[in-house]
Amino acid sequence: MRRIVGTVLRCALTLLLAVTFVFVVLRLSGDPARIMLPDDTPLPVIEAYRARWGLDKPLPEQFLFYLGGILRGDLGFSFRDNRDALEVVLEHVPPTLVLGGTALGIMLVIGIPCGIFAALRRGTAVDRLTMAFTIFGHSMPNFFLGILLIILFSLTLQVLPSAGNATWRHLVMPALTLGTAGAGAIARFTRSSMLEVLRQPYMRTARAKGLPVWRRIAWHALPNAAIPIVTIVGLRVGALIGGAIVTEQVFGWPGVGLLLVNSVSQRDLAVVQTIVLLVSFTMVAVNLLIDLLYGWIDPRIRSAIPRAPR
Amino acid sequence: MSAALPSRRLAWPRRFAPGRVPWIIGLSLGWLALSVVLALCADWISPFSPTRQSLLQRLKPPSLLGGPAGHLLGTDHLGRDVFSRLLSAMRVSLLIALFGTWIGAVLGTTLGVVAAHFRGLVESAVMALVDFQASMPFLIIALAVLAFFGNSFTLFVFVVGLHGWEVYARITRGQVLAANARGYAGAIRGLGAHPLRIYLRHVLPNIAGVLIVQVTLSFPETILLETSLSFLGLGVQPPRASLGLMLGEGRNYLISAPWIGVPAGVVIFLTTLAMSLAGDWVRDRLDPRLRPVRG
Repeated sequence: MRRIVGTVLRCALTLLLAVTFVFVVLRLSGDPARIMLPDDTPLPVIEAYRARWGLDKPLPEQFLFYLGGILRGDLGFSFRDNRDALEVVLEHVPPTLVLGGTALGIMLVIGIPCGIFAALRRGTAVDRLTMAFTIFGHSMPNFFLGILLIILFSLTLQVLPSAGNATWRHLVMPALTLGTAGAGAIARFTRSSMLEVLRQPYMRTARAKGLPVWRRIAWHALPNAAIPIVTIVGLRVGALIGGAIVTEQVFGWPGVGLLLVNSVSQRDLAVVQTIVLLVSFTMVAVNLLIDLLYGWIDPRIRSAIPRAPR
Repeated sequence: MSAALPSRRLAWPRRFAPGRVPWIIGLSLGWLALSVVLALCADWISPFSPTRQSLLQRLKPPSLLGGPAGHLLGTDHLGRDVFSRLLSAMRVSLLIALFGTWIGAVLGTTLGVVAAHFRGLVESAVMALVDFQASMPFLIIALAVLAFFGNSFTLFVFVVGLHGWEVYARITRGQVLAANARGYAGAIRGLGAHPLRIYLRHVLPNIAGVLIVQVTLSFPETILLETSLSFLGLGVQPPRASLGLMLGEGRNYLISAPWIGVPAGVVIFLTTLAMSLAGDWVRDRLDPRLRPVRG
């Protein structure tokens, strides 16, 4: 219970920091009314905007105003679309979820078996191949990987479309591009975590009992190796969001990342701030989920022992 | 006992001796040295000015693929020599990565020392910032800052530099706390040394190894961040060249002129790959505990 309260408090703090970050950056960059509204805005509209956001009040009061607005779901107005920024952003969320979800699936389906296999066949060609793949995924910028895939599959072999999101065939290359780096990282952590577990005495006992390999791995080794793997998967979600921005740009995938880049270049800042807050909200939710998963995987964590400082 | 355990000081040079460097690490170090030399000497090596346009020479293929002699890697959509631009782009990208890495390292290390020295509220504040930074994808933060403030070269370098500071802060704080608990820091403090002197002259040199390893890890990430932002058109602005920007420009000519973008992509990949391999190797050498156990 204490653990959960602490976690929730930390989440709230992170969210507050995210809001503060956007607020401070917005104020530091000059007059928000000038920045958030297009250049040719008539004066009465600017005045109305100032009054609405309390821009004539002292800074602490402005901050409270700002917080209140966000809590009401009022994140400003997208002048590019002439609609509420939140509405515009939410419209772009489903494609990104599809892309990110598929990439996450690829990461897990490739990364975990590769890592387990590499750990079991340590020092062999399989192991070395997995580690080479890890380093490849880590060093390959995903925009270059995406471009190489386009050259190969769209321009040379002409089997996959290079832009859009109409069919599942459109999803193949972006998801591969986005999932590769993460698959490598997960393989690496699965491998080291498994190596740690495999040398434990209970693994020898399980073997002495005559249990088949799959059962030893699935029932004895994996649950004990899971915590570091879950941690790295959680960390990769952040990288996934960053990678999605670039990948969506390469493949013209109409998600939040493409919207963010377009909004930054056209300075549609209400949308930018909405996306920043949405991402921080997502990250907090992911971290919370990971924390709860820890307790589910390892009952020892559920007890009220305070966690060691990081 | 002392005969069986050679001292660290004696063991180091042998671990880095040329005969013990694996070939792939040798290749990596060679590539890194070559790219630094190419970047430094770009002005003398370049056959053309990287910004000179020639509309009659647009989209010419590389010399080896039947293009005009002199344009080693062909020309781009404005008739600029791709090889000259590549050299100039390497210089810009490496410089930004170098500055960026150092800004992050210095800022993070300073904040880490400050947190460990003052403890209490200061420490909590720094660590809350670290947690916040670690939980946000940095690309988003960078994009937000560039969106609100507008893009300028100085701001861009600084934003890229902010990347990764939290890792240095976290490492340094932990290491300084550990060092303060050890005898030597207490002894010097007992002699009446100023805290700045203790940290700069005694503690930092002792924890430098860990920080250097982190530099080798964050350098490739900084390159990837800079090239990603430039690729998106939100980083280095034309007519300056950056590896990411070249790849971004070349994206529109993948069918007709793949030589505009692909070489830049290859250079990014090779550089980050070489740096990661060399960094991993240095880390293994510096910290024997991380070396794979044989047998």
